Amino acid sequence: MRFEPLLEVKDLTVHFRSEEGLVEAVRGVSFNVGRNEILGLVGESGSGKSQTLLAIMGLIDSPNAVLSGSIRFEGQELMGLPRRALDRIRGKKIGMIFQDPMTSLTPVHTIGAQIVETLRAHEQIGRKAAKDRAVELIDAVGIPAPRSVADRYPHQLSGGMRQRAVIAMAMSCNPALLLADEPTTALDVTVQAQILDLIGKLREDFGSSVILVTHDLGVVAETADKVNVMYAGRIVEEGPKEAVFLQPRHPYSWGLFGSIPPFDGPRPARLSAIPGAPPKLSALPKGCSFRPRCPHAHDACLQEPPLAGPVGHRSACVLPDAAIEELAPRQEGAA
Amino acid sequence: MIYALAARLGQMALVMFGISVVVFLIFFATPGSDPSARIAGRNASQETLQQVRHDFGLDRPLPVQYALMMKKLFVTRDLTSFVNRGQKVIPTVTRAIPITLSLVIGAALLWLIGGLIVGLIAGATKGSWLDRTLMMISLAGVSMPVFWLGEVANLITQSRFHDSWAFSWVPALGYVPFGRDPLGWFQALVIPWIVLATLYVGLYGRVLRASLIETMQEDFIRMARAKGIGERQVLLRHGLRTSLVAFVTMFGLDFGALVGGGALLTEVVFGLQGVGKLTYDALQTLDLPMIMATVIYASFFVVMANFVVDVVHMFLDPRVRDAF
Repeated sequence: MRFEPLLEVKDLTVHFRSEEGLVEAVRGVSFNVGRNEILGLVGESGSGKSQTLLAIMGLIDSPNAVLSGSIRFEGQELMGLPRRALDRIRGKKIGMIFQDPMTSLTPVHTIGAQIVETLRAHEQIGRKAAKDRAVELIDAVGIPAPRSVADRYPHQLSGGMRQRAVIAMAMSCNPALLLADEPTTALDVTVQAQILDLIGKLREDFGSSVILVTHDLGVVAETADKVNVMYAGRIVEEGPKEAVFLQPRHPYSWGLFGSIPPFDGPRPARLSAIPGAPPKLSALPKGCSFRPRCPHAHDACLQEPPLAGPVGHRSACVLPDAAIEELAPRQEGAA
Repeated sequence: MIYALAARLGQMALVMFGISVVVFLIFFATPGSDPSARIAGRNASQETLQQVRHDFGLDRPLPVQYALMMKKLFVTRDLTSFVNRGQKVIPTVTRAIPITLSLVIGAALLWLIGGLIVGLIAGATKGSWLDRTLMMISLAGVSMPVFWLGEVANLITQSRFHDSWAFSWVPALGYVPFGRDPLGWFQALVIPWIVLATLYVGLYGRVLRASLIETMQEDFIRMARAKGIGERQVLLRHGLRTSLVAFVTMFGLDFGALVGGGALLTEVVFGLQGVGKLTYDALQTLDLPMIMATVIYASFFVVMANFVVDVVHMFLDPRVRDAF
């Protein structure tokens, strides 16, 4: 049998027709996720990371969306899969956690009922057994007094508790892949760390792979194995976490990492920021989309640069390796 | 919970008291509405007027008059009409209540089911030709005045096509008590039901559609889809269930108002001697005791309906439950 990654995304494109023209949210994104691997997808708002996740889940239902490319999960093509077949995969083999736990739980059903619903949709399991299993899951994500929490409504729980409940729901059928869309953004810092620990623990306990979408580099540094940096709908840099954090190759990544305050040493008077603003997705600049903000832009940047570089650590920049070596700021202790 | 209930009952009594006082005062403060003049008839002499005033207690201070009327209404229950002498008010209203209830409950069932189906289908197929057609029909239903629609229905079923196979079963206008002849009761009311429900089906369908479309944009709907449950379950268990609040609120208010006499036009068109018709006739003749009785009865139903709406809310929305 040929070795196959758990998830194989190839040339994924998500466009939206709008009054301002075609909005190119995701432009030819390709990546793999292996078994038991955590992939961090980083980038600022509007870089297409959330849309990538939603596309994998088949959750882009706008009539104006145009999707193309290929998403293979366990060898099965998900793109264009009919609803019925899709529903046998999502919730069961792929779980998803959303950004805001305040709005992602249905307010009129108890936590337990919402977990039971997932279980009973995918497994031949009685009402009573499902309820017991739901209580176990609530316990497994570290919520105290799981039996009473199962009978509570979402508004009766704190944000952190709700996010744990959402994770319990996503993990209820032991999915092989967990998609986490900014799971900690809406939470307190202390709760953030707990949730990240939990996601890491789930990988060990359940053997799931995770795609972690975030704009928080600290989150990625803590949890991910591999990192994809996205900008304006494309992956501009990809590689193992250590490589990307210690030797970033793309000028956008330099800017990104440069904007984090150093952990120790003298504090800079001002944090460096990337000048300018991300391009409008309906009017992308010609060639490299980072070109208008890039301090190293030159004529060659008018061509769209392909992902290139050393094996396993590639970036979409035309700068030669020597120049990258010379220009890249050194990061210490970031990973 | 018990405290909330008691507070509710107290509130209800207060509202009904307020309404009765206001109605009473309006009646006496309206220029040219001197009840004794109406009772005595046209061109009555000053002496007759005085006599009438004294007989009916209209020469006593207003608070005393009010207290007397309330006593006759609630304690001795022998309040008589100012206009039809000797007609007892309370039995008259009691006779009218089953007619109005029959009409409104039947229509309410129809419009609830109809509104639910229309709203659900239109909301689920937003933007499709089916949605557009349903919304167009609802708009037409909302726009047709109920008295006009009723007259058209009468024209068809009572006159033009009454002899055809389709409508030969339709009885003459009027009410048939359920206890005497259940089938006759149904046959006499089914067309009024449909006519009265038409407006509300359109209204409720549109409201539910809007509320459903809004709910289906929520994050928790995306989450429900991500759980891999079928779209039907997403729509009913998550979408509809959450959208029902506006629907139920409207229903409670409309139902209360209709039972309280708001179905007047339908009652008149179909010759049903219900509470609405009774109120209307009493207003025509400024028959204060009758107006008093029907208005208090109506306020009771409106306040009651509000109470029921709150209770249903508690079942529908756990967040409301906790607020109690």
